[in-house]
Amino acid sequence: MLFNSFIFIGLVVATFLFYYTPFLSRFQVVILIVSSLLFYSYNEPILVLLLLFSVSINIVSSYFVVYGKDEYKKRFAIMGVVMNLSILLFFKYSSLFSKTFLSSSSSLGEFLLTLPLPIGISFFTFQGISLVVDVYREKYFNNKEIIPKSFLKHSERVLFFKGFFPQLISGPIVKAHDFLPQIEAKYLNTINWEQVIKNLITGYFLKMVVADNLKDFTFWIAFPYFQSQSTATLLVMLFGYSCQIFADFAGYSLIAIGLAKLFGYNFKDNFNFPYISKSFKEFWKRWHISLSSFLMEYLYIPLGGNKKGKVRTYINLIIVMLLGGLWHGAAWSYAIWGGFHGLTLGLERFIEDKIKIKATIFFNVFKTCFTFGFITLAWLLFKLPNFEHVIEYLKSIFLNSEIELNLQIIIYILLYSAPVILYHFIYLAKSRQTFSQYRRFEYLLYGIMLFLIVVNSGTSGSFIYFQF
Amino acid sequence: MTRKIFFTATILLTTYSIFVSQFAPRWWRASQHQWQDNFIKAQHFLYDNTDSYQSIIIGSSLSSRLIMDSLPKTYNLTLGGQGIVDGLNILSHKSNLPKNIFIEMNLALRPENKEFTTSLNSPIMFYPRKMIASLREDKQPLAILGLIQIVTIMKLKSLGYLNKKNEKKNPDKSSQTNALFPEMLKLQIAAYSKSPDEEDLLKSFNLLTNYVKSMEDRGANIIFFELPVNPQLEKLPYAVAIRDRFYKYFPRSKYKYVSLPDLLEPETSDGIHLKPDEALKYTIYFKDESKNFIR
Repeated sequence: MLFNSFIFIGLVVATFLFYYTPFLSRFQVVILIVSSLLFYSYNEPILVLLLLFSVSINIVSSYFVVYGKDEYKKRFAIMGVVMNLSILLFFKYSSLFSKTFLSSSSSLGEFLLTLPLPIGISFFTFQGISLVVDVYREKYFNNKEIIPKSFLKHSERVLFFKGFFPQLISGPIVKAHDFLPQIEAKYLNTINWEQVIKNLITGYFLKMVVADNLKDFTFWIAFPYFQSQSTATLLVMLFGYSCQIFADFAGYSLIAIGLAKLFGYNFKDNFNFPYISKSFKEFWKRWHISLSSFLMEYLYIPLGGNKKGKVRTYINLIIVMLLGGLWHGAAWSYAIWGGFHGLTLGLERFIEDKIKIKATIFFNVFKTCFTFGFITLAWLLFKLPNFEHVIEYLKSIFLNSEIELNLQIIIYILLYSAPVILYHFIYLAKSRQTFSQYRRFEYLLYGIMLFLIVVNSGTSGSFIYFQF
Repeated sequence: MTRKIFFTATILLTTYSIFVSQFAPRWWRASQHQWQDNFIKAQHFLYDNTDSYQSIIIGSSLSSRLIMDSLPKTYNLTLGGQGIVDGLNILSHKSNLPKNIFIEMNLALRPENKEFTTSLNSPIMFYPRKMIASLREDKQPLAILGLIQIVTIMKLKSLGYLNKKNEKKNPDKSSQTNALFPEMLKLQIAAYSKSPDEEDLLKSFNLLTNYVKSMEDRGANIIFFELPVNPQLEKLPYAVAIRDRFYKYFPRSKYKYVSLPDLLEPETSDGIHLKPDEALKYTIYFKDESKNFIR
């Protein structure tokens, strides 16, 4: 079920009405669970069973970490993490394993290729791991205050935490310590409507007007079509894809954040204007923050982080980014993409350790452009999962300078990418004093976005991050 | 703030709607890409007064190449990237059918594009779009803004203000397409070499039979036609299987067929789409042949 479909809007409206009906207030969590299961089962009802199985692992392991015998706590925590990862590995990476190591004619190879990829599995698995690790570490909350003694009540809360529909299939990856303490009765008069409306309008605008329109022009990045495009067109298409992937995912996250607020829950920001980053390190603090902070907290730091010497730090960075790349999809191109980012992070750290350059405005602008350029180039691995096609695309950039420009593609990509650039510029301008006088006209911007959602939406397309 | 946002959006929408319905020039329309083009064709057919059309062509992008100026009183409802089922679905929502319905045979197995038909027929948007022209696909303001920019640049180019240096070294467009041709033909040969799945054939032809029967019941005259493709594809299993199945479900003794032209052996631009000169030749042939069949 897409966030921009009428059926989804109907579901949200119905859920909202039941949720805030006074005599049903005792059942608020149950109402959201029912809606979430309806939402998840809309396309393939059978996969709800897998979600429930995954949730049940977390219910049992987290409960016994808290209320089990002390000597078994570690075992339950390990069991919880291993089983979560096993489900993810089996459903998401079996096809990659089969393609790489098994013959397609073997019955096992064929079977593994036919396994369905349950939507959102990467997201809800990571949330499950965060629950088990958080209760085991007991770093953020007092377990007995957050995990109820009643097994039934605990099951309800865990099912709600993993299944809450705004974040269920494409994040943000909400951590247990951020979400569980928020579960309590919610009231209509505490909704911050301005924030809800702003998040929803910006999110739907980025998705429906920017990303959905851009996708019909970046489509030509596909093999073999790109081979007949000129150098400038190929570069503009790459730039457009960079803006599209941002608008698509940041848009989704903003909608999710807005919807959660509608039901009284706060998710942390998932994007913080990533394309103004002056370094790769900064980029990963601004892009898909819920994933990078998860990897930092639950992988990089347990690996030793930067506490075990410089060489080990570089290695840790590369390992984390390689796995982060593979998290995105079961194809080696994603691992290469992750490895590429790991290498750039390591290299950047190495250079920073060796050379100190005074930061001037020009140098900062250069660094921002350089970072954006490299990140944009790396998105090619997302768009073209076949590595040979990536090489062909790069070759075409150098060889097709004589071919005539495709004006239609160039003009429309620049037109629909402009809001992404503007979005980042407004953020930069907001920090300046002179901007405050224009702030009172902010509603005009939201009004225009809402108008464009109504009259200028692109053809509806799945969210890019659904596949992960 | 929230009220101001909704008020601004309402004012903008009202002003734009009045402009589109009362003051917009005839050229105030744009299509950005194939999918949108399909929507525009379908919306125009469903919402506007199209009852004066005597005939309609249902098909894929293959038939989009037909030169419609040569086929008067014929509506071209061919949908690029989609199949005949979507076209027939649109027809089924129209109260008055044209007398003659031409159905393309080549890509008859393309399944229904549910996203397209659901979006087009969605009751929530169907009537607002029918009544408020500014909500239709061809009136998107940013698409029109883009078109204005493109036309302006083209005009400046034709007046010699832009890109003179580049023009000299630019090879013509056809050579770019030619460079891609072997690769595309290879892909098409691979696709056409496989026989279609029996289950797909059954499903598609049962559905097609239902549509044809319902159109006939409403008095329409059905005429099938097959677009010529590259000679290397014409006799491959995929093309043969579909052709045979048409003759089985819709016997030649009972149904009208515009047969393949004997002399036209098109190179095509990618194996299946006619080049402009080939499309013109075929349109002339199609017009001559169909004269005998139309009512």
